[in-house]
Amino acid sequence: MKITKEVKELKELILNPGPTDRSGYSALDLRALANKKLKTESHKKEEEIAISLLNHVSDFKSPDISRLITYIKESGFSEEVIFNRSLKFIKEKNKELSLLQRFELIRFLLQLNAAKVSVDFVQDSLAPMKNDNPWLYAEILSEKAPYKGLEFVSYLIKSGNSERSQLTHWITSMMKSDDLALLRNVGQTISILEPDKQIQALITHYMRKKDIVIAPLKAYHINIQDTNPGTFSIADSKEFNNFLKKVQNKQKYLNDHQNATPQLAHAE
Amino acid sequence: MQNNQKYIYEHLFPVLWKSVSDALLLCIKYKEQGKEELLTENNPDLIKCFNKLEEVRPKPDKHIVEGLYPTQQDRDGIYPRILKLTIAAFQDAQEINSKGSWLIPSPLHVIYHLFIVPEHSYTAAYSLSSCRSFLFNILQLFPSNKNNFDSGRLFNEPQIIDSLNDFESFEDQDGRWPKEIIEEKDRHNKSIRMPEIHSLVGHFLATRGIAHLWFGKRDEASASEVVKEFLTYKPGGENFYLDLSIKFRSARFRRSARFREFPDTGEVINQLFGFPVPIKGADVVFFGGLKPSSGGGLIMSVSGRAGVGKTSLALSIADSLSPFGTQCFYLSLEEDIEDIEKRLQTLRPHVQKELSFFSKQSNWFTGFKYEGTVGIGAFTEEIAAMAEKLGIETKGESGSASRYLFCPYIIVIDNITELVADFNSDHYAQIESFIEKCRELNALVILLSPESIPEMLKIEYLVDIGIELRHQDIEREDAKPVRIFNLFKTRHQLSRQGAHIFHMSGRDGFRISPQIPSQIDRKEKIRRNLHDETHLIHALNIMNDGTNPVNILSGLPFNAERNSYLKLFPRTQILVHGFGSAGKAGFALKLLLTPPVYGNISVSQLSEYEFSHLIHRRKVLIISFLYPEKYYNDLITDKKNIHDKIKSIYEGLPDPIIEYLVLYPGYLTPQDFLNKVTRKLDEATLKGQPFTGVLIDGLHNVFLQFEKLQNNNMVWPMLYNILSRYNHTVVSTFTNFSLNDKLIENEQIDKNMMIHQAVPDHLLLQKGMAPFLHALVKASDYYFFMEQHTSPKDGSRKYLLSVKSSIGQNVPEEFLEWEREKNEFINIYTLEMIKESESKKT
Repeated sequence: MKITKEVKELKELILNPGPTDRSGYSALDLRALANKKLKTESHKKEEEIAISLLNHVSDFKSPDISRLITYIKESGFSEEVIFNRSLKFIKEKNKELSLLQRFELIRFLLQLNAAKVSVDFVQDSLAPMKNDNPWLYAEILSEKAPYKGLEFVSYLIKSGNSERSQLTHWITSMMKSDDLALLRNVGQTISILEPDKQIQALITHYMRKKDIVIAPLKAYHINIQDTNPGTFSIADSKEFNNFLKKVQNKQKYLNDHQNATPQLAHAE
Repeated sequence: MQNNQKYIYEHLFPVLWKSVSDALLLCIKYKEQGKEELLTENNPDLIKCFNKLEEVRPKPDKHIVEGLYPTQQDRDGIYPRILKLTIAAFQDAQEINSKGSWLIPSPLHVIYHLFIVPEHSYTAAYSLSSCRSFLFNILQLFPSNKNNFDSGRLFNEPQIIDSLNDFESFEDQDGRWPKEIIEEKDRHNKSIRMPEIHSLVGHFLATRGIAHLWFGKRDEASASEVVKEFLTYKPGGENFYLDLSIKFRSARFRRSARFREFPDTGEVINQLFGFPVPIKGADVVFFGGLKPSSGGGLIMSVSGRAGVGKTSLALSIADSLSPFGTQCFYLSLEEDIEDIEKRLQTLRPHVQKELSFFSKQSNWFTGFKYEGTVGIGAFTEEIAAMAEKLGIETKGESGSASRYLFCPYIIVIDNITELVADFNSDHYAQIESFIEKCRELNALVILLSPESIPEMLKIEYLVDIGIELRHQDIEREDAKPVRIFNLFKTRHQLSRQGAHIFHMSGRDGFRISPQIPSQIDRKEKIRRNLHDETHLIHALNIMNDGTNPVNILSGLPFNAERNSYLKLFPRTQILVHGFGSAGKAGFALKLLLTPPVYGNISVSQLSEYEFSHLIHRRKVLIISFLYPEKYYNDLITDKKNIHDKIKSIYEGLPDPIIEYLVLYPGYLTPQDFLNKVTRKLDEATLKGQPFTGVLIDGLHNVFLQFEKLQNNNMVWPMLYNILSRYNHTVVSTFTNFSLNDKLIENEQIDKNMMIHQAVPDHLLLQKGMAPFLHALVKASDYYFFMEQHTSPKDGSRKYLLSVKSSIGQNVPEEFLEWEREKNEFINIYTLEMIKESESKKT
């Protein structure tokens, strides 16, 4: 497909959106805003130009694709048309696209209409990411299928691929959901699996904020030395048991020695 | 608690009881023989009664064995404290009109006082709880509470209230109580009969010294035989506890003459059913103790800004209860446990080191730092899990333990903001369930939180005890900030609510200075003393003490138609007032250091008597707003030798004991001031040696120099009110601003004043007079006025003393001439003589 002047212009703009003005808008942003106000015919034309640009994604790096996607959304182009064209594009050019480009496009699709993207499609398209960039994969998978995402993250933690900043980022994004059952599941699973103090703190923070009780309570991480997951609680802590023992000893002592005083009732 | 004892000092009770009984037997014997002068702390026969105590190993704590050892007696002249307490208690019991019966203090009362460290009267909490446990054990009666479900021999609150009321109504008839004593068949039945409750209440009040034991004649035996039987122990006889339980039932009771009325029922209930808080001032604030709710637990909320002392309060309570065997579980959501343990070390009162029942290690403390944050719902479940475990682990074992462990454990949660950071009042139900779960811990639960939280969460409705700690004057750079302990709620019990002052630094640890009305009303039950008309202080009746002591009236040119110039009765309140430095302190000390003698002994007869008996020894507390200790020391012994001069008239008079309360200008609060005074007075009683006199020197100095005292109008009436509850003579001195007379005398200043228009501020002066006016109103059994004059004899500058008012007699019209340098009177003048000399001058 030959590059028309308009497409080339837009491509340049995407690659180099220019400095932002006082209000924080780049030339690209301004163009998107201008598009929004265009009449149907001109709007259609701009839409075509943008869609044409999808053919050039091989020249784009991941941030450029993000910018393109933002541009399309901001311009208020028909989501349905763009979705279909994009999906078709990914399917056709799957092999030509880099993994990150695929990732960006799929994320774009998910944002446009998650329901129309199947889990299998996501998993298949991005399969190599499981190893290359597992946390990005986890993120996008969780967006499509949170429980699958949780499963994958659990797998990551279990296999020793957990990383605090990534996990934190993932938990934070998960906690944006309104699905309390999901949140409870996330909190409980991760708190059992991940002994990291800050992660525990983060989860308890969110659980508190959403007012969710994680059951069983043992999910709370108490004793850092105790690596056996699932036994964390105050009542189970070494300290509390020490305390119990002390109380018990005192009482036991007193009971054992109550006969030191004559039982007056029977003494006479 | 030592590990091998059920309660503090348990092992000392048999030997102490028997020793005190022996001593009381001897006291009775002396009284029967009319040899009451033998009732002194240095009587070797009485001292011998306590020999057995010396043999106890390990050696009991210092305050218990004080004065028992011959070296202390011979070298330091310190006699057994336990004996002093026994004699004081015996004499107190004799104040009751006995009509052919015998009244003695309960030996347990002596033991109760003995166990208290005099300088640290809050240790009474340990003593009381120990004596209480002993009593429960003897009578085999235990307070019913949630933990005590196993044993049938439990008493409850209504029974105690009935019994107290019964005692009170009997008292109105001036009789011994109770009507019925325990019958043989009733003893130790499963069901408890009222006479047993009466016996418990009677013995408990007797332990506190509010009642004494009464013995009348029984069958063939005379009262004297009955009381002796009570006190006698056959050597190697029956089991001590068993023996005592039989003896106990024979006792009846009478209220001590020292008490105007019985203590508040609520206080007795708190002391029998609650646990005392061994923190200075806490007994006043909590009316004797903290009483758990009927459900068992007790939830206390402590709120306040960061750094105000919440953690310190919680730790101090836990620390102070540790001798009872109370374990503390400190759940920190904030601070590291290590830091908290360090804090604990700094909070401990130094006296702990002297008390054997404090363990050296803090093995009563278990701290736990909870990492991260948690929601209230989750935390509630956590508490439930703990409560369940505690229940399982400890319930099966309750048995006798719960009879002695009133507060088996404390759980501190520091602090609950972590649970409720973004909380709103919609979550009230959750808070409610949280508190309910805390209750299930069946412990003293202390919840710490920042100031606004309890209000925001409406926690105050849910907890049993609400305390708010805050700072006052923290914004003022010219004042010392004051910490306020505001008790705003107690649900199950009597307490003194409102704002009290507290301190937490220094060697005394965490302590509360209760608000003034609280300090007063705890003394309200004690009878106010009237002046003692049977004795006289001859201080104003003698002149020329140092060289040639004679009756001062002999200085008159004519024969006065009376024996003495002034009858100065002891146990009175005296005001010495005047201009300039007339030697008022010296005069006041002379009044207080002169031993009172029987009213029928005249001045000329004094030389016929010997005054070496310890009963004549004076013990004076000097409360000084003016001078440091050395000033008074110089007056009494070192330079001016007031004591030696008195001794030259009163042959053999023992050296006085002087104690000081020197107050320096500054930000002393009225609460702290009154607290210091009462503590000093109580301390002396507990040492077995009450003060015979109190000197309040330099009242005028309060003006401007003690800002907070000056601004509180009630502090003076309160002070004199408190002082009147003790058995001593009070002298206050007040100097008028000498500014006044100097202005008149000195022309130069007079001129200056005219130039600068420096008219004295009358308002200021009036304000400065407030303490004086109060003293005049309250402390005016005698009112002496001193002013400078020129002696008609030799024209030298001397001071004239006139009596402005005097109790129970006509005011003498003559003036006495006071030689300030010698601290003695040297002349007596009639009004005519003064007038004559004045007219000669002009």
